[in-house]
Amino acid sequence: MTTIAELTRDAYDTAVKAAVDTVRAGHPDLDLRSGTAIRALVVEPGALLDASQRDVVSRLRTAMSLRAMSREATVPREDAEAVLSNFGIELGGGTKATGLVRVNLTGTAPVTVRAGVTFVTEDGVKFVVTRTTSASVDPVADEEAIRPATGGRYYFTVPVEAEEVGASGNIQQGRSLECSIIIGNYYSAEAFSDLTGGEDGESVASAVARIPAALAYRGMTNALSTRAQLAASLPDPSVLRAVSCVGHRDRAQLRDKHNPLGIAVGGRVDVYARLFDIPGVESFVADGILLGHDESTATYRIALPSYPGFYAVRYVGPAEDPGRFGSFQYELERSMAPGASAAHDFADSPEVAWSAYQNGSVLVYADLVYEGEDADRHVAVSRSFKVDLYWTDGIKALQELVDSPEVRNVAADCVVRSPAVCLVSMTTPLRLRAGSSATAAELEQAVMDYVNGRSFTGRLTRSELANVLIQHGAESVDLGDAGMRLAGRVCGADGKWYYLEGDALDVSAVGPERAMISPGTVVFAAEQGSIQVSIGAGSVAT
Amino acid sequence: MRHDTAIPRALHDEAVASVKGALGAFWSSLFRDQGLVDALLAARVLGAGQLSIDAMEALSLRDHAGSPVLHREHWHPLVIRLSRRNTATALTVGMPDTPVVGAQDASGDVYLPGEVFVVGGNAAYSKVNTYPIEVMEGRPLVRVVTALCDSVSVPRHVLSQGRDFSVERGVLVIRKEQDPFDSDGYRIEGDGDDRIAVLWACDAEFDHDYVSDFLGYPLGLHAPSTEAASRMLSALWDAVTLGLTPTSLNKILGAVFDVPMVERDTAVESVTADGDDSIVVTGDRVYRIETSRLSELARTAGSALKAGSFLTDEVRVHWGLSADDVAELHARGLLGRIVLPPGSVAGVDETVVIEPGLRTVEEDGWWFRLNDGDSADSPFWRAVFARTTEEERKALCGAMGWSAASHAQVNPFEALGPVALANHILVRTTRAPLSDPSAGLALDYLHRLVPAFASLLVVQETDASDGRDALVLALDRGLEMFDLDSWAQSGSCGTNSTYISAVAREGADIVVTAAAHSTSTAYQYTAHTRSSLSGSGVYAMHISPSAGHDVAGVSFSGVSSHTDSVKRSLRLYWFYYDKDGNFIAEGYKSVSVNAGASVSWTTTSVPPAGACYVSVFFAVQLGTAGVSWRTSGLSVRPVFAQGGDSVSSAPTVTRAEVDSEAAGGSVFDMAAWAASSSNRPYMSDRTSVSSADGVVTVTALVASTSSHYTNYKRLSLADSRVYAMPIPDGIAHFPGSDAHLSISGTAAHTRSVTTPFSVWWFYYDEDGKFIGDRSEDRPDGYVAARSFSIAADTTLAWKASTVPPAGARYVSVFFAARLDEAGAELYVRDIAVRGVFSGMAAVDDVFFRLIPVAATEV
Repeated sequence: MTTIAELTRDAYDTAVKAAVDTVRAGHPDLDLRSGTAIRALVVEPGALLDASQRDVVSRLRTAMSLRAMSREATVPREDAEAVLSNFGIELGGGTKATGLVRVNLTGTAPVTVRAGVTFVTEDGVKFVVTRTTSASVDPVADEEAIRPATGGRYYFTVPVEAEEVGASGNIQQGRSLECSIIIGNYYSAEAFSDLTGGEDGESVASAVARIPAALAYRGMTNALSTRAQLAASLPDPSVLRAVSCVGHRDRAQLRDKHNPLGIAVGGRVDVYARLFDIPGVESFVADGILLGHDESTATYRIALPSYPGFYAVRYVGPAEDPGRFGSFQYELERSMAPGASAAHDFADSPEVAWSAYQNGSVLVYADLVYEGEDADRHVAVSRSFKVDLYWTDGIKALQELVDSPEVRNVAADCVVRSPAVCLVSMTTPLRLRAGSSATAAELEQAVMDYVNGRSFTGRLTRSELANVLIQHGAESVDLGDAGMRLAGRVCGADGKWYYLEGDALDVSAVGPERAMISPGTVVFAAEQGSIQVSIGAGSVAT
Repeated sequence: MRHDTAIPRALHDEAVASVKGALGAFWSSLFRDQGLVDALLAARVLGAGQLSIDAMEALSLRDHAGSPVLHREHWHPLVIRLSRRNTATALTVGMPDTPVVGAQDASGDVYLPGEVFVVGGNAAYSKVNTYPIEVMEGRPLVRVVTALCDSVSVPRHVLSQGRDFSVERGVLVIRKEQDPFDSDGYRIEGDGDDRIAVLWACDAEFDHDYVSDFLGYPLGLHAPSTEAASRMLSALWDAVTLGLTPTSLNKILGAVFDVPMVERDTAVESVTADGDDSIVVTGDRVYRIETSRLSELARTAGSALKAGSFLTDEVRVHWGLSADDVAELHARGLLGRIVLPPGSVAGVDETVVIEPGLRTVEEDGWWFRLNDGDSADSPFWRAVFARTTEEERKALCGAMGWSAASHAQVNPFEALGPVALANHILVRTTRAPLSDPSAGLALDYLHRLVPAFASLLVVQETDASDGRDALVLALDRGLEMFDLDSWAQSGSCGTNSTYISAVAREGADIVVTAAAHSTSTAYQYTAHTRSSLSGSGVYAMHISPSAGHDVAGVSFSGVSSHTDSVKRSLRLYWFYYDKDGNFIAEGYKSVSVNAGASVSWTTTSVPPAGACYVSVFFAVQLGTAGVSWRTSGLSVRPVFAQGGDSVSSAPTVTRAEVDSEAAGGSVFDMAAWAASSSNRPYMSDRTSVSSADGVVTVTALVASTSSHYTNYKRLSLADSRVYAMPIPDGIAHFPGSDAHLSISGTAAHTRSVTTPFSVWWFYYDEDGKFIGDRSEDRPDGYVAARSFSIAADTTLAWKASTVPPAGARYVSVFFAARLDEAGAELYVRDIAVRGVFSGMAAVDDVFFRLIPVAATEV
């Protein structure tokens, strides 16, 4: 409620002017100069109360619109929630980071780590074991394998999630952790791969962006109504960050050109659903079968387990010492799941990319590891690899939804896909504004938030990122030869990586048609460590 | 809430009496100074009345269909200062859509009610004074609906809106004889030039962003506070919540093209002529509309009108075009060629044009041997060959009814048209969109509401009967961005070297092939010109200072490879030209490429002062006969930044703003042009200019090889009386927009030889000052003219595209032609200057011929 002291001078003066003028009109000779009794005791208090009440109405009006509210310094969360409730929207509560912790051992004795045990980083971020995990050298049933590592040590993995909601739980592979209990033969612990999926509570701006879909009718037609349909099926609609519908006359829509003339005839829609900010990473150990070798390199094929809608392979390394070196060279081979072409109009393997109908295998070009002794010595016919896969769960459930008779569009064949992700990296020197206390980490996070908050825009420019940095405390950002470097890579439906660099990352014409890369299929994302800011190292003249 | 919502009677005059009665007998009867009581109560009631208006506004904001556009203050004090008299500049460049201020004619002697206040007219200063209005709480006063008074309750001076005063863009314009400082009876405070007058505005309306804050933001749109925007957003709201139905689509189209739509089933009760308008009374509404626009149904009393139908025939919608629909449209001459954009055909990354008429052996691309892929000259047929066997092709020819012997002769339109246009929603309109910027927003948003498995084509039917077609118009866009189509079709796609046998475009690639006798490792050049673009045939891209930012650099990038067996080098050269096309500077990027490798390269060049165009060409080392260089994804685009290479204050643009500010449009007012001094020659002893029925005639009075110009003003619009059109807000000022102004028309002449003709445009800032040409202040400059050649006995449909520079608010247009001989005449007609919306891009997709007025519905 407005207090009189909070009234603006303009509002008060106008009310007094109007009151004085009106009184004077009926009583021209009345002395209404400032300080006179009638003015001070009757006219001004009346005007003050009028202005105060009008201000109440004005605030009520403002509180009915999030946009009007947002012009104020801060939007009260309860006011925002009240308006959002009119659209059936609740602010998302955020999510916890999840992943695997690698426990390094000095021996091979069986070990059990119970659910609830915690691991903590040196700066206090806690992770809780989500499932009681037993490990042994010869695992049975649900047990994890204790695997050999370099230096005469061994390791196994346990699943964890961050104790707190938020992005602080997203830590990089190899980050050192301490265990809260004593484990037999324990040597050390570290993140087995990047822990991902931790997100802070949803911002009001993000919730506002969801309003159109909340208003929209539900149906599998345009991107808006499709998003409304998909969001309605999710327990937390805020996880559905963005939806793009690639349909008639889009270069990346291959399925509606299945006629001898190749002309797009419509009737096919690919629904790309972004279910993440930072792309999720799933790590696992899998055996590769030797296909052949030469003097220095052995080729193995790894059949990928079922991760419906996975995007691409991130890393393939030796299971015994993952992360110590870079990834082996590898090639992703996509293939159609059995029955795919009957379920939907798929002609060949690129067309199933990123959908629930996609299977895959990886050809790995690894160094030579031998088995046997002397005369029996031969290249290992089977070898364990650690594989990191970009994957966020949810595509299969959405595909089942759009295939259901209650939802399916009778005029179109819809396939749900995970978006192709253009993984962005940026380095830049910059100079801070006088008085700015921004740290490099804060600026990097601001850029990450911006990149991960954009969806299906087709283009990311250095100017945009420079603007983000300037808004967060930079005075100037060097865009010259020694300045900001912006690069990106995106894996096409054909399994190949395409690289972009320069003033703008523009995906509008990258790769051949069969790579299915277009503004409607690609989102930008920045992983931890991919954005690097160096303060004070800029070569910019002020 | 409507403008005429009144303060409730009970809270106004009668309220004084009733409140007084409630005070009791002492105050209503016994107290000696009843006048004081009345005056005090009137003041209190005034405050309560405004509170009531505020509350009603707040209540109305709950309903998107009835939401108010502006906030209304029943009484609002306008404070004006004598020291600021005539310091306001807005109306010196006021446009035809500015309010009438009294009225002026060319002489300034006579007031004609209803006349438009002409741009920069002297009358502004001879008849009126202007005062800037002090802004209250940062909210601009948009208009005063009713009157200005010297007092709220007992006014002695009552000034009428439109007759005695007007308010425009924060400026009060008032007739001199009503100026408070020069008239008796106004309350003036202060002394000398510091004197202040308070005028009470009745029904003053302020922009509180209601349209954006309550209608726009839930849809992710930022729209101006106008009635049109409110109507369009309300229509969009319905389409979002209910889906794109015939009714919701018509509601949007009706709002965009300003065509009245019937809300519910009703009947025409009466039609009454009123001047050029008709007043159509239906069962639930009364419409006023120009009689010539009315449909037969709407002008016939007693006829039934269906909900969702229009009162005119100006917008027609065809849902889900079937093969029969396409055939019928074509047979009736309504549908010409079809242009499919890249991505519409599998394996073809370029535009495919589908022509009507039987194609024969001589016509490339539409004839092929069924068993010989090399005979297929077009990318389209090459792609067909790549995916079909000979047997399949024979079967296809049989199924399609083509000749299936040794070769095929095809009528492309009949064969492919129905396939290409299947699943389309076609909107045909003879009207231009409203000039309100929200029209572009609505069209853009509409495209997002169309089912993804179909396409929406919004086609504005135009008179282009001279045969110039949509494809050519589309290529003119090379001015704003590097256009591979234009490059490939220009002289740039050629060679300056005998060692190069071919420079060709293949899809998105440019391929340079060595001649059979080439053994030189020296650089060999593709076509270029170092002197002047004029007449060279070389394609050059306009370096547009768009988006409100100066061009800090030009970025070049691509991916190159070659077929030679050793390492070779390539250079991408760029040449800069000034606004007249004269060469001024050059630069290049070298790329060394190993055998079998492919190199992605990028570089940025800073254009020299005065650079307006940039052309690109290649220099390649060939070495071995037959070797070829392939460059993919050639991209040339301006890099915008402020402060040179460093961004020190980059624009703040949110995603929502980018989405919402995508458009704007405005239509050139030919009548205003003709009524202004633009309709005069630049030198009256050389040229005469006249206009009638929308045709501008330029006549040479003397024989001269210099051009004959229509009138223009280079310094300032003030006092010039040159017509200038306001530039819609959405056309520039944000990165990533492809919005621009399109200037088009047709032209012909009486000469017997080809004659140069040019259209010019000048930009002016908010104060009417000229900014549209190169100057010391704007060394980057940009083009302010396009030149054309018109052959004898030919009508040229011309079109130019331009992105307004930062700060431009107005644009004027004039013409020049080199008529050479006395008595020769140039005719210019159908002049249109309008914003091009991203949502209207589909205009180029399908080309329609002029539709006769009497055409019946399909």
